[in-house]
Amino acid sequence: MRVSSRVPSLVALVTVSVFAMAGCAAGSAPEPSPAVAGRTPESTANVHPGASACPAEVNVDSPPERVVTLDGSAAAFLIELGVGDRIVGTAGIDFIQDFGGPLRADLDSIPVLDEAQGNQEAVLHAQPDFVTGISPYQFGGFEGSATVETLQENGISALGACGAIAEGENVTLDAMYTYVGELGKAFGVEEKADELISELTARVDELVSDAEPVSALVLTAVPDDGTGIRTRGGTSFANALVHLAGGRSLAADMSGDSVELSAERVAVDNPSVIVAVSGFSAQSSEEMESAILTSPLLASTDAVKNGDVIVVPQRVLLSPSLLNVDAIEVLAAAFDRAR
Amino acid sequence: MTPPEIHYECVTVTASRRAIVDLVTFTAPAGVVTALIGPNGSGKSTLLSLLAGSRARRQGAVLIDGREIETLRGAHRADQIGVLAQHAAHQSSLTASEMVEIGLRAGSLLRRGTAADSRVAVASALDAVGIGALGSHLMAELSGGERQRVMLAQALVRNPTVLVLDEPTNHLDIGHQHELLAMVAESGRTVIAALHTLDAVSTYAGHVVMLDHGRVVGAGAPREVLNEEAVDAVFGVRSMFVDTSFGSQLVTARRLPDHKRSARDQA
Amino acid sequence: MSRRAVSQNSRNRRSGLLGAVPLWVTVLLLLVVLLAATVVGVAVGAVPLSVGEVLGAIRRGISATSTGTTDFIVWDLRVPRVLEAILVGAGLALAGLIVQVLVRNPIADSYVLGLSSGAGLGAVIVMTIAGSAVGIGVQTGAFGGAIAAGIAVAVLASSRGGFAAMRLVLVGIAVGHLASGAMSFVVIRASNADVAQQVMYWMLGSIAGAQWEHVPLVGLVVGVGLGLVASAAPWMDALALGDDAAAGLGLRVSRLRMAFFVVACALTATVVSISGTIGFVGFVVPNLARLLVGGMHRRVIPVTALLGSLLVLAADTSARTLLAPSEIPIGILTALLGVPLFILVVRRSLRAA
Repeated sequence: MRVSSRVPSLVALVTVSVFAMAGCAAGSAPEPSPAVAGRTPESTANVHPGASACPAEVNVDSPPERVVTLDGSAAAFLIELGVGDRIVGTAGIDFIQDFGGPLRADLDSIPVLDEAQGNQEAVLHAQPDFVTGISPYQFGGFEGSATVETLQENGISALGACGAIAEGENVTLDAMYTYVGELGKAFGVEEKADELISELTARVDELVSDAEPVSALVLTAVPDDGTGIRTRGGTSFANALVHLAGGRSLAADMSGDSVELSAERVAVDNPSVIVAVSGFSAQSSEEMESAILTSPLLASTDAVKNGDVIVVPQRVLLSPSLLNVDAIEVLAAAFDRAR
Repeated sequence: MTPPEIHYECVTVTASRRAIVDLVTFTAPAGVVTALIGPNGSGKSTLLSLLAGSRARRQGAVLIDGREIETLRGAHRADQIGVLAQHAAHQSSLTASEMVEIGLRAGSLLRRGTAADSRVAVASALDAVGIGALGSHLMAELSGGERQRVMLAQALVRNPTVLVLDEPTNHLDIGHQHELLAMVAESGRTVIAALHTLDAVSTYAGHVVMLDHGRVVGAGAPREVLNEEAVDAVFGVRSMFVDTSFGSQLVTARRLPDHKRSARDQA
Repeated sequence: MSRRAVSQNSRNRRSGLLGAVPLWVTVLLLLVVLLAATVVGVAVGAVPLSVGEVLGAIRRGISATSTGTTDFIVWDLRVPRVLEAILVGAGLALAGLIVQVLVRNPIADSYVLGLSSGAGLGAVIVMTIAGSAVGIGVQTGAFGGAIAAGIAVAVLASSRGGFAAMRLVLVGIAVGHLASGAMSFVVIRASNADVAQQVMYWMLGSIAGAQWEHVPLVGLVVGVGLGLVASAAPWMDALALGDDAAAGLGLRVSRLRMAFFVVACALTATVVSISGTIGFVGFVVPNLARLLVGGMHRRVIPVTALLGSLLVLAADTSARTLLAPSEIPIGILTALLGVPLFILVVRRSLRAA
């Protein structure tokens, strides 16, 4: 049969293609439509071809006077550093809901330019001299946002929180500390910035112990819609928070931000705690928790059997935030309970 | 078999406020080939479709041996009335036997008899149209004439007493045209056929109904209906019957420039 | 070899590459292969297990005495997943076959009727707006969305004359686009923009979330669908010839087309609600089946269902083992497995002709 000579080459073609495709597919999720995307650094590249590289550093001649924050988290940082009064407007107000107390009141009083991602017209109209946000994708990556070049053309400096996605396994909050440091430099409040960093570092250090890391599964969605177990990989920011809280993510050795994990592996590795990441769907924390506790796919884990499920919003788990350390403390408490 | 008589009584079919068929009344006698002739758009296909399961809204009655055809259930109707279907290109991947078999089973989900009975019925239908050896051939491999005969076999496989043919000689060469019409005429069934080739009509049809713009303008024996005036009026061509040693034939010719204009063009 | 030289003995030879092979042989062969694939599917996975462990787990699962992680993996994760793959594959392939007959075009599947976009819209609405408020899950939403799209198409494509093929396609595509646009709109207007990723994953299709809970209902729908379609094989043969020809053969064409449409919708909506929109299966499998066993639906239908199950089962098994513990999206593998196979068979049949 003449066809038999083609079979080996077809097999080879198929095999090569599978691995090539899988290499692309593994670890990185497919791209959502450019029009809508998560603001977290870990939500995968929907970056427009024209997006700017993340502005990790900024040089300003004098401290900025009119600041636009592209999300409530950046605004919180600035308020904490004592320069909140210079904020003339903010976008991304959903970040504000996690804060409380006097800080919340301050955040609520900031004029809102755009509830969503920071439309460039709204931003430019506010005539700032400085724009900052916690996500690299806010500078041209999201549809309608302003690129660093556009801002510079209008005499506006830009600063983002870069480096939240590490090269290797992510185990530190450096991305957040670096951002605070850069803000301190830009606004001439280096001392305040250092103080803040020390304070946060101290809180984290208090949690360090020799105890065995608690195995944890970071779940970005409840597997009740037919899809499998989606988690954050070892290079993601979430991995660092889990690590610092005394845990070890099941996917710590898998590179990539958004990873789909086999349910079998989860059953065998048997996480003691499930960290559910809310904010990706309309489900409330309670709904997520109860859905996880009743999910057949997770039923064999200690976490579900003992009810050790904790829900953390993606805004504080996946991106640099003032509340990162609070999140770590909450996780640490949960891990302690599970031990 | 005892072939039935088909009768159309005051049949009117309208579409878009236009009467495609207007108060058509005629009889197709039993056991004989009745040819429906007329220019394109004269309503021949519509009239035939009423026998072939069309759900078009119509007034009037279509009777088979006195019984309104709509009272027959689809399967019973198909048992009695075989329709020559047009062969669709995408069905070329079926074999001739399979194509005929579709005609055998289609109306009824329950097989009548055994698989062997079906095979026999299919084989005899193919034999009857003269292509018994081509059963395993794909339709795509057959010539136009052979394909047409497969479709005829499909129409005949249930042994209907009536045969409905809509321009069956399209795409056939003259030899195959005669072959098909002879086969059909000798089958003893009641045949209603829309035909374009007037000389074939004169040879094989026992009864002719001439239509123009949806109305019957003539009905009767070929020699009566196909007279020079009528053919000129309806088709705009000159004609005459010629007697030959093998029968009477209608011969047609192109209109000459000085010939009087037909009533049709003045309408 | 000239076809004309075929002897009288093969008068019963049917169309298709395997035309000379009796149907029962082909079906038996496929069943055996499917059984083998099922065994393999349950035996392999991200976690290597011994044969003894697998068999023991199955035994204990059947007697409802499962204990431990290994039993859980085999009985609660792998077995329902394998069963779901089989059902989803058969359902998608059959729905694709029905639609190809309805629109009289081999380049179609049930998604051309806008059902997948409708399902996506339903899923998205639940994900972003309703859900908790109304107490329904994503799967119910997807099912409802697909059914709603089907009803919209049925209403818009119907006319006095019935349910014409061309109209069906045009209306289906239009409804699909409308649903897609609405889906994007809902996502953008959601108070939380990160839901887009969730939606994206769902639309890609996956059997990774298989649960025992789904199996009985989906099994019932696919089983009934298969039974209905198989018994109506002669009607499908007639419809495939054209509406006029089918009417001439005694069929009530418009009623029949509507009935087939309803079955295709029910199959698609059910399958899509548990597995998302897995592409390619509905299009390629019926064509593959026809190339193999010819154009008569009595033969095509069982082969379509079996091949569909095999394709999705093979794809899903590969998806969860090739790069374990990571899972590859199944859509990549249905294409990677299906395309070469399809091309192989097409070339063979072209050469044979």
